[in-house]
Amino acid sequence: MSELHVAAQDRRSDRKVMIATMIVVFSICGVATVPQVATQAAFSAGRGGDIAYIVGDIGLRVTANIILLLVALTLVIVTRSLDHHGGRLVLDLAIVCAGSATLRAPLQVAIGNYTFADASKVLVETGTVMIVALATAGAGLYHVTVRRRVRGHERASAQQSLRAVAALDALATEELRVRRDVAEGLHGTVQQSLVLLGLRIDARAADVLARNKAHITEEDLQDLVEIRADLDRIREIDVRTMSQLLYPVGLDLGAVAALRMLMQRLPATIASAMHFDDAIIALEGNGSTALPLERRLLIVRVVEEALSNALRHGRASSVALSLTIDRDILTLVFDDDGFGIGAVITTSGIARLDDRLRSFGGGIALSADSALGGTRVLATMPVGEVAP
Amino acid sequence: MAVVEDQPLYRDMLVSLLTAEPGVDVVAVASGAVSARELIIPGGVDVAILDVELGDGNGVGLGLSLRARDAALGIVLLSSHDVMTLLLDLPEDMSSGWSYLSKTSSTTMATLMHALRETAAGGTVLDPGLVNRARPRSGSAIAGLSARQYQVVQLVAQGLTNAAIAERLELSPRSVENHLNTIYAALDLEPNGSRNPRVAAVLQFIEESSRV
Repeated sequence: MSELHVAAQDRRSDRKVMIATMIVVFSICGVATVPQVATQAAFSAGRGGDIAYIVGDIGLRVTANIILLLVALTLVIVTRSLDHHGGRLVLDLAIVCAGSATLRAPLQVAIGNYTFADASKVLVETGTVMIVALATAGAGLYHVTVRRRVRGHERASAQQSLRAVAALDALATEELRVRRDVAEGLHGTVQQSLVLLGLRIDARAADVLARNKAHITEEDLQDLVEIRADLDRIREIDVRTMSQLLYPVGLDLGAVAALRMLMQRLPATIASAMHFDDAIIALEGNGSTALPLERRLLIVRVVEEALSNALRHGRASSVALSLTIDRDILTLVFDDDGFGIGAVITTSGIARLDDRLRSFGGGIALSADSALGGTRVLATMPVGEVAP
Repeated sequence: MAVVEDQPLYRDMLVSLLTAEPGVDVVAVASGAVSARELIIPGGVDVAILDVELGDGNGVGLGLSLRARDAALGIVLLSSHDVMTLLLDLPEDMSSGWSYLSKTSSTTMATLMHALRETAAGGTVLDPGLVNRARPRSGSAIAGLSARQYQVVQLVAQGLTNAAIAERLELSPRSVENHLNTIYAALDLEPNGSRNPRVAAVLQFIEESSRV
C-alpha cells in the first residue's frame, strides 16, 4: 500500500473517531442538562406543573442542540481542522465551537425559545453551550490523539519486526557463506594436509625400517599400521562428515545433485532407489538452482535426518527417495525397510525440520506407510513462487 | 580445446601443461561461466574442460548451454568432489560425450589426455581412481553381474576401448565383446538406436554403485 493511500485512510479514520466521540459526548451532556434547564425555564415562566409545555420546550432545545452539533461537525470536516497539529488544531477547534455556540443564540430566538428581552439568559446559555461544545471537541480530540498514538506504536513495532526479519535473513545468509567456506577448507586444505602427512609418515617409516630393521618389533610395526589407518579414517570419514554437517556437498549444484551425492555415499550394503520427476529436475537438477539456498539446504537436511533415522535407529537395509512437484507443491517421500516408527528413539530432529518447513507453508510427518515396510518420511514444501 | 577454471593457479598450470602436448591447441581460456559463453565459439572447440564449481555458476549448467549450441562438443567436468552422478540427469539426447575427472585423486596427464580424446569423440570417461573404489550397490542390477563382468564395466566406465580392455584383462577382443553383450542383456540395455548402450551401462554403473 502506498504512503499516500495510508495517509488518506488515517485521515478518514481520525474523522470518524472525532465525529463519533463528539456525538456521544454532546448527547450525554444534552441528556444531563436539557430536561433540568427546560423544567427551570417552565417554573420561571410560571408553568412549572405543565408537563406538555415542558416536553415542548425540551423538543425545541434538543432541535437547537442537534442543529448546533451538525453545524459544529460540518465545520470540523470542512475546515479540515484535524489535518493541523498542536496549537493550530486547538485554536481551530475553539473557533469552531465558539462560532457554532454563538450561532445558537439567534437560532434559539428564531425558533421561539427566547425573545430579545431574554438577552441576559441567552448570554448565559450561550456561554454554557460554548463550554459544553469545547468539552465535546476536547473529548473528540483526546480520543483521536490516543488513537493516533496507538497507531504510531503499532506501525513502529511492525517496522521493527520487519527490520528484525531482514537482519535474521542477512545473518542466515552470512552463516551459510561461512559454513560453505569452512566446509571447503576442510575438504580442500585439511584433506590435502592429511594426505601429505600420511605420505611423510610412509616415507619416514620406510626409511627407519630400512636402517634399523633389527631393532623394530612386530608390535612397533602393528602400531604404525594402526596409526596410519587411523589417519586415513580421520581424513576419509571424520573430516568429510564434518564438512557435510557444515555444508552439504553439491548444494551449489542444485538439490538433486546434492541428494544424489549424499545417497551415493551410502555403504554398498544398503540398497537405494531414487526418483526425481521432470519438474524437480527442471527446478533443481542439471545445474539449475531455482530454489533459494536456505530452502535447498532444508530439503537436503530432511533426507539426512530420514537417512540417519533409518540407518541408526531402524537398522534399514533398503531405502527409497522420491522428489516430485505437483501443483506447485514439492513432495519428498523417503521410505525405508527398518523397524518402523516405534523404533525411532528421538524425533527432535524431525520436530525442528517441521518448524522450518512450516515457516515455508509445508511440513513433515512420519508414518508406517512405507512402501518398503518400515517408516515413511513425507515432507512437503510449496514452491509456487519459484516454479517455472 | 577450451579451459574454464576459476582458480588462477590451477587454470594456468592446466593451460601450460595442455599447450605443451602435441596436437593440442587451447583456443579459449575462461575463469567463469559468463566469460566462457562469450569465448567458446560453436564449432571452434572439440572438447571443453569445465571446473564444476565456478564463482558465477556451475560446470553442468554451462556444459548444457554450450552443448545446446554445439551438439558435437565434448565436455570434461573437473571437480574436487565426486560429482559423477551429475551425468545421470542429463537429457537423453545429450548424455554422450560427457566425462568426469577428480581434481584430488591420482589423475595424471596421461589420464587427462585420454579423457580429452575419448570425450571429443563422443565417449564417456570417469575418473579411474574413483571407479576402482566403487562397489556395486546391494540389490541392484549391477550387483547381479559376475566379478569378471563388473571388472569389464569398470573399464568401460574409464573409457577404455574393447581392445584396451582385452589387453588389460588378458582376454581376446572377441570374449570382451561377448562379455559386453551379456552385460547389456543383464542390465536390460537393448540397443535401440537412440541411446548408446555403452553410455547407458556407464550411467547405470554410476547410479548403482557406492563410492564411500
